[in-house]
Amino acid sequence: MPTQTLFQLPKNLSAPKRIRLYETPPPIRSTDAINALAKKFGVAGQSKDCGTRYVISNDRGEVEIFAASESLRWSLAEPDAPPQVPRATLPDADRLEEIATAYIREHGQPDGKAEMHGITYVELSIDDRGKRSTGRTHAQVNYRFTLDTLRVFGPGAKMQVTINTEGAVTRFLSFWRPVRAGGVRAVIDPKVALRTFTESELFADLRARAAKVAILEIGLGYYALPPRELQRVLIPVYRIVGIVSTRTLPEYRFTRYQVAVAYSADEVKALGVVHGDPRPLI
Amino acid sequence: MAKIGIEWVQKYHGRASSLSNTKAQAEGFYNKLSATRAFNYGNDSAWDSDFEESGVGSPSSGGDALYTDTVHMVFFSGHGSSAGPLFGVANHDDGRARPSEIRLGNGTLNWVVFDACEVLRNDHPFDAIDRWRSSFAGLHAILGFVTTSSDEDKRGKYLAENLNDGQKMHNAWRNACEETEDSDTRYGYLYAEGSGTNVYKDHWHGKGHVSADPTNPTAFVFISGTC
Repeated sequence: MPTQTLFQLPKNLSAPKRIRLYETPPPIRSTDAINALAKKFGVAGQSKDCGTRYVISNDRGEVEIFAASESLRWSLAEPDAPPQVPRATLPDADRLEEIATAYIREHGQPDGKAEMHGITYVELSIDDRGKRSTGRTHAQVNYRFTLDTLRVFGPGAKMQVTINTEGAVTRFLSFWRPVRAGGVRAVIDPKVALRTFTESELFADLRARAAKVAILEIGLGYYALPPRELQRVLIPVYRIVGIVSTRTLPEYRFTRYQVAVAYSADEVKALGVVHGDPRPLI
Repeated sequence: MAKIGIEWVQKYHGRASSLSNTKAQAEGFYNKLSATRAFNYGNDSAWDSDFEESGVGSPSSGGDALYTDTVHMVFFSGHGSSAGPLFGVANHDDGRARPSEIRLGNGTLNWVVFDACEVLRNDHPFDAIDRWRSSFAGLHAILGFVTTSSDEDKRGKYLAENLNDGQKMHNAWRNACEETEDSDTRYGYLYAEGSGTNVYKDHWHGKGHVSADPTNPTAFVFISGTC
């Protein structure tokens, strides 16, 4: 068993005593509704059922509509030619935000509260016979979701608008599930959650003389599974951020999620979690 | 039919923290992609030497000609860093497949996935092209991460589904990463081009264009973006 000296833990942990639960009923979509959604993005054509996604494409672009969640991904038809470092620069941050905001307004914002949290870039480096060219081909305006001021973590809760040097939107992700407010449950004390986490098998082979685990942050929120996965409720979790240091891997920065509500085994089944290995969550 | 292999590590024996989902991650890829399954080595059976060239580096116990370079695509899931993917045991080489010890594609291999943190890190002084260029000996592309990535279990399966659906290799990786990471993570895709090649248009075998091998690469292209 690892000893507490292996861990550097944050002091003064606190969290709300109770948290609202949110159900996320799976969408029911008709073929007409799928086609109408694709049309909004200028894509019309026969939808292809890829199992987890409906894909509609034409020479202008492609829309993927996820069967298990209210998520979609649109992209402009990509040129067949290999990528080139653009000569032109991208619009400035204010203009990028303006373009992204207008795009989301026009194409429909999901019902959650989305907030922009940063602009990042698609970066390209080409080394052609030793001659290097490097640049930013696109900007990515990124959004996160919150519910009751708590963040919704995970890959199933984000939006991203990709913009090229001409200021045109070339790609759009909207990963989200519509929520329905449910009951309120007691939150597991963060000290208990952290103790459960530090006693997990992740650290069982580490010894204090040869390793250190520094927990940097612990925050309460909800977890959204990938958009291809069915999920009936947003799972209340603690997001735990830390660094594991060993001689062979001196700085492994991790983000893990620890369930923040005590679910019984029956409740776990009723949640309808079909994730292959739900242990990190539940 | 094209062949695939996977290696994954959950138990690091104190060399690093354990991981929970790398087995499911790699096996999701293995069980889903339309391919002939050649090998599945996990934990203490996964060795850095399986990825390394014989006679290169120190120790020089590489054996890729028997393992990774006998299949068309390999998926590794485990810990990593800019120094390369990290393995749970160090009794066959030094437990880390370093770029300087890797020469892939002079056998069969076209693509390698390093589902591991920072293997394609690309900030000064960690230039991804300079670090990995000598590893391309016919290899088409390395799929990986610039930043830390999650210990999760769906990405391998999604990548395989995307490839089966006929997506280009780059798009299949980017899309799988977008669906399994939040927007703090950056994916990376590093590929080589040579005379008469068009690796950028690569698809999985049987699903579209597959370039000739860039046996003597003249250009390297690195694309990265936020998931």
